Amino acid sequence: MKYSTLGRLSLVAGLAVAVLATRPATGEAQNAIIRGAVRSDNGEPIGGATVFIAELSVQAATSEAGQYVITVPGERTRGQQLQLRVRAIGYRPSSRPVTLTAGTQTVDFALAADVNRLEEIVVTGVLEGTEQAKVPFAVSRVDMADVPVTPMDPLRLLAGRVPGANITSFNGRPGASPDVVLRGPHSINASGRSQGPLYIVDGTIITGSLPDLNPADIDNVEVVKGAAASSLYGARGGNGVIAITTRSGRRAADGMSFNARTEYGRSDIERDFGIARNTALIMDSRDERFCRNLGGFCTATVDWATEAARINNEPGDVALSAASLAFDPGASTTPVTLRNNYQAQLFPGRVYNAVEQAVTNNELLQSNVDATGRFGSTQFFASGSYLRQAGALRFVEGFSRYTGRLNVDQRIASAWTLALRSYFSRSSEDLNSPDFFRLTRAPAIVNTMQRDTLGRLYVRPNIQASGLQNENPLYVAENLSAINYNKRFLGDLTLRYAPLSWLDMEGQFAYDYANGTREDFQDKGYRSTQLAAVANGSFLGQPYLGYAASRENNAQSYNTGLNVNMRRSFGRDISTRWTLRYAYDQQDNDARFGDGTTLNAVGVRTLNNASVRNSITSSFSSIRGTSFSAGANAEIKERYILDAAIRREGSSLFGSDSRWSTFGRVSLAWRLSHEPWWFGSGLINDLKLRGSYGTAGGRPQFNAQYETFTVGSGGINFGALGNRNLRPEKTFDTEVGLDAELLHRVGVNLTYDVSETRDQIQSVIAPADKGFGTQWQNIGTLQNKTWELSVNVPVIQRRDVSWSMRFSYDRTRTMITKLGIPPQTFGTGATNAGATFQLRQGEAYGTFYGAKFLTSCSELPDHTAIGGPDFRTQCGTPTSQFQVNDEGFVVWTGGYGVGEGITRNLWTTQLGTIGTTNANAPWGRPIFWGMPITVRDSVCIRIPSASCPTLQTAVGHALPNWNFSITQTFNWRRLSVYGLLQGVMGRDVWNEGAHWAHLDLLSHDVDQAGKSVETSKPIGYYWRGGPPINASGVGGFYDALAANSKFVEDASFAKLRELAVSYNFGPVGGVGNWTASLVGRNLFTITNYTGFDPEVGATGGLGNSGLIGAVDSFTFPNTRSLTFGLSTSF
Amino acid sequence: MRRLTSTISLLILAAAVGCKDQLVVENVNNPDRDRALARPTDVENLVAGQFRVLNNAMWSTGGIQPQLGVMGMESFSTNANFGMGVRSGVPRALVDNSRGNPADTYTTWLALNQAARAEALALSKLNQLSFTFFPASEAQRQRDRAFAYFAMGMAQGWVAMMFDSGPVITPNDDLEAPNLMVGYDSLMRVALVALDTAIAAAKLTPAGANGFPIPNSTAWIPTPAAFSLTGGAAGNFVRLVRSYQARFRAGVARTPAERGAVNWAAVIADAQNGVTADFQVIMNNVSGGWFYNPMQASTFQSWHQEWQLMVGMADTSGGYDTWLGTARQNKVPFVVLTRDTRFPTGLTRPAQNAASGCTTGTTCVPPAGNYFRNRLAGQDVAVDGLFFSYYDFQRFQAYFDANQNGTLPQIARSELDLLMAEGYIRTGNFPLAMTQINISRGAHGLPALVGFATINDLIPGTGCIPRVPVGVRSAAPDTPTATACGNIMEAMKWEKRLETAFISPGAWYFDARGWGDLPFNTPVQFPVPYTELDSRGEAIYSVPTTVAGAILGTAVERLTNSSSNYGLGTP
Repeated sequence: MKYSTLGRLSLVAGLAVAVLATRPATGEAQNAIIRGAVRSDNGEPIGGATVFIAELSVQAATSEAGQYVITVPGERTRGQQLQLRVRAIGYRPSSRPVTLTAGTQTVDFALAADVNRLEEIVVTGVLEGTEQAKVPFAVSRVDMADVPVTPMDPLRLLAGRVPGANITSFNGRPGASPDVVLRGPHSINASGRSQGPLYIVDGTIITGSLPDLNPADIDNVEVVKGAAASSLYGARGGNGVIAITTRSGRRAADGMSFNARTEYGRSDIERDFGIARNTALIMDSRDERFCRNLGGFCTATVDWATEAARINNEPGDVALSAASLAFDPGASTTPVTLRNNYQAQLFPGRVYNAVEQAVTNNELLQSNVDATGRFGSTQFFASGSYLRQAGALRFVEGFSRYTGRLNVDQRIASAWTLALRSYFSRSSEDLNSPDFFRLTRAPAIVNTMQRDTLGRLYVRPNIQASGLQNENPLYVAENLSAINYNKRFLGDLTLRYAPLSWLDMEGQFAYDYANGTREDFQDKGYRSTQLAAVANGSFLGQPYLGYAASRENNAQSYNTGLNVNMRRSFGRDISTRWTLRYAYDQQDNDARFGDGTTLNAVGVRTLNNASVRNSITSSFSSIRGTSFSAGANAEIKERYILDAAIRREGSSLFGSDSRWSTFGRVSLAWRLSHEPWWFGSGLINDLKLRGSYGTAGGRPQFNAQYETFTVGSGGINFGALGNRNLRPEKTFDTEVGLDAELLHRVGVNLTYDVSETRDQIQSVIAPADKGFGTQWQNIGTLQNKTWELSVNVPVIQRRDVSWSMRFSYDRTRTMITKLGIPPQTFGTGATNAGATFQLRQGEAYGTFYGAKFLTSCSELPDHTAIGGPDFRTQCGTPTSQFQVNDEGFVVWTGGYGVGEGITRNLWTTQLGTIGTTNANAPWGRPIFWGMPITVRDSVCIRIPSASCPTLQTAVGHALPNWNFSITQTFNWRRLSVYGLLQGVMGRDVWNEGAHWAHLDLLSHDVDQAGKSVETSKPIGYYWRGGPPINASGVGGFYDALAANSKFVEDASFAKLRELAVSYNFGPVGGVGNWTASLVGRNLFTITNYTGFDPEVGATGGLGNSGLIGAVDSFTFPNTRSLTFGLSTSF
Repeated sequence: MRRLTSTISLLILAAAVGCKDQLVVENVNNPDRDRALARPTDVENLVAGQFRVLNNAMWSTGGIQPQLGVMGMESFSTNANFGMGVRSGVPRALVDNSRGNPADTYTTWLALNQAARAEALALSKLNQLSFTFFPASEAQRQRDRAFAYFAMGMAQGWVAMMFDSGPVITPNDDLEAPNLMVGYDSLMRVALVALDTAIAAAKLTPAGANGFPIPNSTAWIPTPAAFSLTGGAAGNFVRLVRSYQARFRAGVARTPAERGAVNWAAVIADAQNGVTADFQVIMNNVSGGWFYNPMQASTFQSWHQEWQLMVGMADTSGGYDTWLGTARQNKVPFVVLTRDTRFPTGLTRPAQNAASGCTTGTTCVPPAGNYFRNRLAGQDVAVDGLFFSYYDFQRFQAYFDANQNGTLPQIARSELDLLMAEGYIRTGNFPLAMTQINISRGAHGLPALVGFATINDLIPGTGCIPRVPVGVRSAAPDTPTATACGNIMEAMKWEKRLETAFISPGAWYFDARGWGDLPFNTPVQFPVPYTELDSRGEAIYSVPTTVAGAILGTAVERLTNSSSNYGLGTP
């Protein structure tokens, strides 16, 4: 019998309901009522505390005045002795014995502060809700109550708050989601999938990213970083788990309360790029007009503005051709010219900065309204929000989002509860933006805001050669449209049945639906810089003919499961918990795309308008998984905690012969401070040692297991060789740590973790005779070693004044301990970044490889073994052949002073002949006076005809050495000040933007005005004439557009991530409880990095994470913002 | 409680049963081989397209062909592109097969093996009697089988020609098991068996529609009316297959000894029964997907020029002797004065420029029948005097001027004539050899050979063509200092070179290694590309330069049973 998928879901859900419906008969009797107050130990009422009787699964929340009432139905009131317990965020829990009898009794509580949240309940990674103090592995938890600055999305919330969580906002475009890597990457090849963790929102396993979630809805976020802790999530848990719990009415008192908050401000970009202010173009004797490239002397000139107006005022769709300029970097230039010219001339007239012209202060508006309440046995939370994040760039709409949420908890009967979580969002995201590449390619004389006589922005304000590169990015931003519309629904229905004090069951059905549509439109008549056919990004054909594209993606996922939890105690000292779980999940995706060019009519955005249809594609996939889990937890004498879990999991993503895998863990915690003999309670009042060993995994992308042919209009072609044995990557994780509280105040968490992800899923080249070029195989091991430390210091805790600070630190080393395939390069999705990193066994993952410019005499070669000189002995003195110049680079000087290049006319001299080998030059290659020298393969000298390439050496590392954050929270009466400083240290970034700007002489590095004769350098020092690899090269840092030691920069930074100053006015006119706040995000950055923002990266490539893809490739920099917020509750 | 326990058990059982097949998800985006080749027409499409794959692989700019051209002295370029620079120099460099080497041959290797595998997969279907076309046609099945074996044999034959070893690919392979790698001679035997099988299938005369001839279309092989595969049922197809067999049988030899041991009777028989006129294909670079793009035949200056050493053999002015007698560093090009009409006429360079149709720019429009041009002086790219000449190959300029659209020969009838000639020479039948050689000599203004009775007889007269360097066979090409009139073998070789230049990929190289004419230390074959070795977990090796003479490299006979047909059966 073959079931349909929905049929199976129905079967499971039906059976679950059937099981849960087998409830015992009930009778009528008088209720027991328990009421009372919950206060802090200094007498302040505690609102939102939960008072409950676990054995009966009944609970109530305290009102703002700290009052509560619990009603136990009469049929469950038998005079039994029970524990009445209370919990509140930030306080230690308490319990009092009560005898349950008909009638009313009063029980009050006074709770002590729990500054380190040792008693807080965590639910992620554990068999069931467990106090933090008893969890045998690291689970980080962030309560929104502790977050004064509402983040733009739920992931940025974690930045700086969870040690070991790398949150990289690699793209500042509004709506872009940050990349998350917990501890370190776990996959060598994550293409087609993610290095990110598994996301769970209220029990719903999320498909894809989280930008659609309203952060104001969040109650708390729990982060499980290690595979041992996440083993319950099997092959989806290898990268860790982030579980988000949204707010509910569970802690609501009777009645209804409202919160409203709005925040308005402006965003901009903090830093600039460093555009050149000088030019190397040849001008007339008055330095006003530019010489034309007519050969010989400067016999004809053009005025830049006049020429720009001439070519742009053409009423047609294509700008006219510009007069060619003498010595135009956009055109070819000879090596001799490069060594004879200096970029020391200021542009005539007014100068601009294209980036500054593009940046504008756009608005940021975030409003949220919610209601929380309880009516009888119904508790609810409802919210609505609007976010408009316009970013900081002209002509860009930015990101806007509407959300709505309804969470309901309903007690159906005494043993039954139903929880509904539902969420809907609708967002639009402008994917268009001024191209930062072209913004940084606009020389200072270019006015990108200049409009022609018809009111159009100049399409080509730069009259230099290389037409398309000179397209005005602001013209593009104004005239192109690329909008993404997203709709999302999340729903979770959980039915809980607790018939016995030692038994409860949960049936759950969760649903996630995401719909995304994208429309691209380039109207007929869009102007072009040149007539020739060009590929304008993805816009094919002649730009002025128009282009339209439409795509839609749908993703639906379901997950359903049944939990059975049992508890049993053995005597007074041993209590145990047992869990059985069955789960099924399914994810269905479909996508379709169509585009066309040569539009028939202006302004019609439908594909019907395209007279030339380019492509029509679609795809469908379904992923299904099922699992059986069992777990046991034993607590002995409240100080020895043993925990074990096992999960047997099947997934449709694995090969047909390896569909099922087993994961599991064993954990141990020892609460030393609870030992009778503990001697240090005065200093260390709480100390727990913990250790875990376990496994979790990573899944392949959908296509990986299948034998495939590719299909297209050209017929069929070989795709990939299938692999019936493809199985999950498996992370074997060992985590040890301690949690301590010192002096009843200072909290310390220290964790050391070693994980090895074996059976890496990698695409390998199949033997050619198979026909299929590649095959996904399990091969290789990636290892992470991590240290994490967090310290919480409540410096002052008084009734009117409090000051606390929190410090966190983490460092991770990620090594390829077994590659299993030949060493190879990989890159990112960034432009021209295809071979940026190298994979080698024994190498740190994310290591940049590229040319190394000599900075030390010791890096010169020793050729004595092949009968040549030891160049190291010819270096370092003022008369040496090789010297270190004023920028720290070893250059050949021929024995002259390193500053005598101009005075002795040495810049055009060289050692050796171009195109031949020379035994007197390092590595046998010709080098040029004063120019940077690259390290080469020393073997080449022995093979004269070999190309003698530049040696590719490790020149940096994309993953940070360590991260830190410091949080300060200060409260004085009604005033609160909060700040979060986050730092990333030892992370290198390939500054491709600056690198490329050297090619076009558009980096301020190339400007020589103001330099001395001794330190001035010709443009060839920065540019190239064929890279030094090439026979005709002159040297130059541009070299080739690939990572090198000059442009792989230290991008360490410390960023004032959040700053909030707020004041609580209390009721205004007797209404509400008003708070005003001033909030800054990303206000300033301390760094030596020369690009826009050191927090940068590119996805794509094998790493497929902005953290690993540390390439600064003209992405939208992160914005900083300053906003004013007003909130109230009533 | 019992009821509860029972229900839970039932639930788990139901879930376990239910999940038995729920994890089986079909990939509806990309088919596997069963779905890709489910219908006979799908199989036929795959079969038909592979000859085009082979054509494009062998003529690709980025493939191995540019290296073969410069190694065989068919072309010269120091440009690093496509491995030309590193292969052009003399003394020769080793074949560096290390990872990431700039002269990687994997692209060609992959394309050839993929084509063979595609046909093998198709044959695994076509070889089943029950694999029925609609309407049912055994003729169509056999036609497709024949073509599949033809392309499969071609693919493996090319691998055997170029690489020291290669995998045997058959329709019966288990793709999950490693394939045998065998030495080039064994692999060529497999290829010839496949080609024999193609002939056998073509000669069957079953009933049904859509049998032979092979469709004349871009999907199969687009040919002009002058040589249409539609013209003669299976006959022309068989002639085509035998033509390639003749080329492969002779060309696979690595050394003069191996060339001498070739089964020349079989070569003669194949050539005799090969195509009766040039086998031409209509290339269509724009929409047809048929590419002919050896840039040496279209892009000049630093990308290509002819070796003075080679074109000098046509010279009758004495310039060649002078040039040979000049030290390498002092050699300068000279104007080749010759009666060979494949060269431009004229006694001076300007005269030859004009005869080549060169006016300005780099494009010349040589008259029909000219294979070479004398370029304008301003377009010279001065290189080492050993290579520097005034001449570029330009026989197919009209094709390139037409944006790489047009008809090009892929097997010249003259190639077969000259293969027969070589066979006759090697078997001592000089009269028939002269007859075959004189066909092309006569067509290009050269006097007929007469009266040759031994291999030592030389072409008479001071204006003999070709004049050949003395001693070039066994020494570096800059060693000879004098010339002599060629013997009948040299006459055959001259014709063979000129008639096959840029018609058969690597034609000069494959012949020269068997004739012993390659420059000293020129590798005579390529190692299996490092990418393939990596994929098989085998050690990477390169071809060394430390042994004297043209070298075999590290050819390995990996299978002791070298007479096996590797499961292909007897045709």
